[in-house]
Amino acid sequence: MKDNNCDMEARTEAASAPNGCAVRLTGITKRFGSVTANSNITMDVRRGEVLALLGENGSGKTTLMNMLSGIYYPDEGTIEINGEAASIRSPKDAFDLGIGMIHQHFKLVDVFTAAENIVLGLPGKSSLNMRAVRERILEICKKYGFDVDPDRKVYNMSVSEKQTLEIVKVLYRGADILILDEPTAVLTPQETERLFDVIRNMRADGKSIIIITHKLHEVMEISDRVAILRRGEYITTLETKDADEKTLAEAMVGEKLSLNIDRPEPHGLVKRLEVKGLSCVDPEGVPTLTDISFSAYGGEILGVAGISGCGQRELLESIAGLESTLPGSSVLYYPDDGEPEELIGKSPREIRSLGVALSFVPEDRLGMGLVGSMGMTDNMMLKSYNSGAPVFLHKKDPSALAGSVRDDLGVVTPSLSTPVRRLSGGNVQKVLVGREIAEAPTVLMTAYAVRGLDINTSYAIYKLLNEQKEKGVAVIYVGEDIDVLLELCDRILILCGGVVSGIVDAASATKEEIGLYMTKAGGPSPAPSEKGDDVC
Amino acid sequence: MKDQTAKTESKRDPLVRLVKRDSVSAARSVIVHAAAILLAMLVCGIFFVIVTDSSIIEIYSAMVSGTIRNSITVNSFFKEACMLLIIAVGLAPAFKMSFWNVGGQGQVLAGGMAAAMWLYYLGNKLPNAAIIPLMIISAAVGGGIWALVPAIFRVKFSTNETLFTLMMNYIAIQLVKYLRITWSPIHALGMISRKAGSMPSLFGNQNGWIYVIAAVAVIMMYVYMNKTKHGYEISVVGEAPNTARYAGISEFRVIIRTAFISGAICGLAGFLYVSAIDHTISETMGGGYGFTAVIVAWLAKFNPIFMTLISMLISFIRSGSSEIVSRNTTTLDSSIANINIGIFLFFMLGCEFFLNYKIVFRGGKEAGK
Repeated sequence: MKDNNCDMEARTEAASAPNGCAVRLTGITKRFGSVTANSNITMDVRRGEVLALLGENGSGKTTLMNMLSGIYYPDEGTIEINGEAASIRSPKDAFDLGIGMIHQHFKLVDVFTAAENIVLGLPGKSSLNMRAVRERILEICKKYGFDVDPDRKVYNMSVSEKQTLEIVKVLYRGADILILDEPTAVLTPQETERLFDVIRNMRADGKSIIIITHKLHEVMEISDRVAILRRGEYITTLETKDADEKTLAEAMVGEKLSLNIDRPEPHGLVKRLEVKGLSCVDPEGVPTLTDISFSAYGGEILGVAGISGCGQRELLESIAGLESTLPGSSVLYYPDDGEPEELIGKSPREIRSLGVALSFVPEDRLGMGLVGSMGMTDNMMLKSYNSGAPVFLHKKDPSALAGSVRDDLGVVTPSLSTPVRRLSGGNVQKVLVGREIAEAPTVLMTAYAVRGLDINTSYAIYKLLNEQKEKGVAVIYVGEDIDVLLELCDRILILCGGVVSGIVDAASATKEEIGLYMTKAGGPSPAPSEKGDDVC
Repeated sequence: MKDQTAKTESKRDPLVRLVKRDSVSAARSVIVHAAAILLAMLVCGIFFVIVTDSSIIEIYSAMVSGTIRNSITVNSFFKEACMLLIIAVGLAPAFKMSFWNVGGQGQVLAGGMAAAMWLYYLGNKLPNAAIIPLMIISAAVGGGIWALVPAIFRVKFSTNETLFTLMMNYIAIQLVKYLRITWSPIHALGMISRKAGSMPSLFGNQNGWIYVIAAVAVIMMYVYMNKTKHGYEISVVGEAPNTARYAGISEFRVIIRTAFISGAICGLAGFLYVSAIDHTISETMGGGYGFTAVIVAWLAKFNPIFMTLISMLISFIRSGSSEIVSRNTTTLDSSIANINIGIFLFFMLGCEFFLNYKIVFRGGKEAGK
């Protein structure tokens, strides 16, 4: 293994050597206007290895990979593929060179089948032999251990099936170098495990895999080497076996870090929400929530765990008044003084005025909660714009709030009026969470608050949530990382198929225990699920 | 194999490639737009030189003289610009809300019909002080209803408002044709006194009220879109319907309200045609401004100041073109103006490309503007 080093001497033989360089980037620079996204990056990817590309949000990982896959063209520098200089001018050039990228946002045609999506855009004769295509797909699936039904329509697929299809698509086109942009961000632990198995199979087949991710334990688990970028610059490449999570995080951030989440002892618990018999159905009449009952207390963080799509979204949305519920559902809100109030049947605006804030962070951060073309100030008044004297907008308070959110949470933005869509994902999320917290809620609900965020920002958000808890706010935290749930929360409610399968004390529970509840064992009998492809 | 050809091909940098610009400075935007306008004028001029055998100097001086020769041409220039501007102002809030109202023409006609109705039934019986307010209100309501129908279908049944508003144009056209026959007295001038229902002149100018209404509409629309709660709701619903739902903004209410306002302003333009310009109704009323205004609103990105400038430019091309047509009546007809407006819009839309992208040639040389 010693001489699979991609140094200067090895380069000439690289093309023929079995462990040579698949990709070699030299002095790559890419600017967007005045912003330098990549600055003089020199690195390489070996054949038959999994290289993790690690870096905080906005460190230029995706930009760099987009240049490999032909979406951008570098301003300076050269790219060599298998030892030969290459000019990648379009995604087609990239395919011809055997480079395939699986983007965070899938590029599939919903109404087409898997097989149709795979052949879409490929050159060929006027008649299309779908049977041969199907056989070839099944052959690829068998070789690497995928599970794809070529005749299934994309709109019927779960997120993980779509991702699998994207991977098969690039393999079908003969890709030897695969780039996966944050592939696990949308997957459950089980799906992630399956993906990693496939990646290992591909590596064994001699393919080079570049994986962009934020999750350090995944880097440790899957990669052979880790390349680290920081603010557009290449820092170093480490052998994974010589690294640990802490050194990686510090290389990425550029300063010392502590990777512990505080969990202050809860005190002065007050009952805030009492959910009783909450049930919902989706537009097709399939139950999404069945008879949910629990209580949330001011001064604690209640975690909600579960495989994605098991009713987390519906639960939060019905409390916030965004989802219609079945008769018999009840959500009682206990104010500091006075009688408990029934939230079911109230409008989102009425519920919010009682102090129940929903900071829902969906897959598309800008799709729900923010308006991309507006600046921070205008986004701050999204929920409060209607207060004050009628007719005209009052921008003074929102502007002050935007300023304090920017300063308190360290939002990086050229100005308060810069459209938030131009900010990086982490900053967008800070704006969203900052606004919800600024409303001084008594109940704060967050869903996937740290999805896709880098370490520093994630920890900043955990800290914010803890501050809210200490102020006596009832925090409901829907999360996907079980380790974080166990460290951050006081109690964890586990949803499975729209049913509460268990509520555990986070301080004494184990990861395995929660995993069992997530997959129904130990929980009550599951809700009948008509959706055959449902993850639960 | 295929791979090999690809490799040899891809050895060289691309000859020309496009680089997206991050942001555009105000100065650059002004320069590019000015260059586009000059180029458009140059092409218009060359076009006229070819079709009329005049020199380019003659062409430009004729165009300018056709606009500013006397108070009649100046008034006509401003009147056309103002009418186009009022309709564009009406369409802007709907577009801002991602409600593709291409039914401006129909809304103008609907407003015109509603106004003419009073003229027909009560034209010689009521004093103008009573009939004009009635005409204004019913024109606004008529235009508003023409936009409201597609809006209701959009929010209730998710129909496509682009097709729906477009089709409403044809209904309005056919209705006007019908009414021209049944309401022949308005058609045959003289049955109703020309004074009946006519806007009085203002500052001694027959078009005075048109100018005032256009100016008020521009200013009020600017304030409405940028400073009011309604304007804020329009932006949120237009860009992020899910965010609107989450913020408790009723999409239903905002779309219905904004569509009505949009149609009502177009209807008001219809009133002006009936009361201050044509004194009758016809299906060609407004000369297709309902469609031209769509481009005016878009080119200006709903900015009222730019809408004003673009309306004036289009009006200038129109008056200049008709001057040249009037000097060459044997060879040209009035549709020349539309060709020139097309040339102008082509350049204006084309320059958006150069604002958003820059062209880089092989070897790193950058093409200028």
